[in-house]
Amino acid sequence: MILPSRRDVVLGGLLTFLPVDLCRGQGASGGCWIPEQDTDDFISSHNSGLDILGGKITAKSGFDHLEVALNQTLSKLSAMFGVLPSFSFYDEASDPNAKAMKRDIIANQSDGTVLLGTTLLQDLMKLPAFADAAIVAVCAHEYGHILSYANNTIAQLRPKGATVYRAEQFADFMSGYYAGVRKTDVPDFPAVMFADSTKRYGGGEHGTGEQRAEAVVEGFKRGYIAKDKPVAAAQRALDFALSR
Amino acid sequence: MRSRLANILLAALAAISVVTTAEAQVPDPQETLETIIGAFQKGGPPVAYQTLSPLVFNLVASQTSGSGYYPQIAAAGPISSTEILDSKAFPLGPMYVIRVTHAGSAFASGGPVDWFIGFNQATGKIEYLTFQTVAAGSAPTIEKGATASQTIGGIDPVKKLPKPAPTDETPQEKALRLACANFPVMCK
Repeated sequence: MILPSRRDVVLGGLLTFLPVDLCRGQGASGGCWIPEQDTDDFISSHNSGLDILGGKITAKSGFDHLEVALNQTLSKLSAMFGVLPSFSFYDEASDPNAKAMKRDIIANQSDGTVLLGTTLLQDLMKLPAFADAAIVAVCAHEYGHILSYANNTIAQLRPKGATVYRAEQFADFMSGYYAGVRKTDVPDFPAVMFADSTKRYGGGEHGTGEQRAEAVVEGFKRGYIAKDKPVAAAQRALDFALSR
Repeated sequence: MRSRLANILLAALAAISVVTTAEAQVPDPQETLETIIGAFQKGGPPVAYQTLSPLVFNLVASQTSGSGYYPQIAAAGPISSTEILDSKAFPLGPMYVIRVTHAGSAFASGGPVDWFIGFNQATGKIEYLTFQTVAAGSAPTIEKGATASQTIGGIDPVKKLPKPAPTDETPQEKALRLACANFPVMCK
């Protein structure tokens, strides 16, 4: 009998083997979201469209083992948040980041696109501990953005002229919610590392590290303590973000 | 004879019980530090100084001419956040390195401030307290100790504390321990 490692538990396990190309249509991650009106600019600047392997948007992260395990986590996020975005990696060069956008630029079939930057990924993989949890936290954050597109709350979170702060708080809250639900299912799931790693990426319109971590903690409480269902948690996330 | 032995055993049990109870008295390090920094900034309230051991209390009194007020700490402004960077268990009690960020202008060299705070687990009082400005690129640790640039409390006590018992703590365990200290609600 092969017991799953802790990393397998965090990332979802190796039980489901899916080549990374099948990541498309699953969904994911991040740190940033791209407004619909800016999507064309983003695509052209990354020389991609659907020419994934030839452009800066790529199906490969460079960490084969990670990709396999990540697939199952993305499936869990899709199922929990009720969204089905495409997922891929992109070379963001010197700006470590992840992106979520409403348009599906890869498979043209789902709830938008999540792109995880390979530079960010490399940074996270260098963490001395819990790199896997930090990566999942980023993915859950980006799925939070996708959810805000899917349930049309993005207009409330970022009305014209407003900063992205509340949209980011919503996404951080949902990331924490995911961690709370997972910890309910797997008691030693390192949920606390979601807050810890998110706090390290504070600054700018995302909010300070403390503000980001607070949103993660509040989301965690709704998943782990209050046992909210996803729809109720999303409403809590909206209320929380709008109160900020 | 049996009665005498029973009394000795009862006394020993009572002593163990007292120690166990006392160990539970170590307060939340971040809350305690915020409270005492607030007191140093305002010169009160008096009750805040009750968290200090007699040694530290007397040092504070002597350093501030009895006012309990440190102008350079007051100049830093209100605390905006705290983060536990390191912790270690010593025979006397736990010690923490806590990074404190202030909303206002910071200490002399600017930026956040790293505090070393140690508790006596038998009394729950602060036995050691000192702070230093944050040096670029290096996270302070208890192993390295505080630089003696600015000190409140025990005089160079870090060097005189016994070495903590070596542990087999893995990087994962350490990361989890520190994260749980900062976000305890996520570790219950």
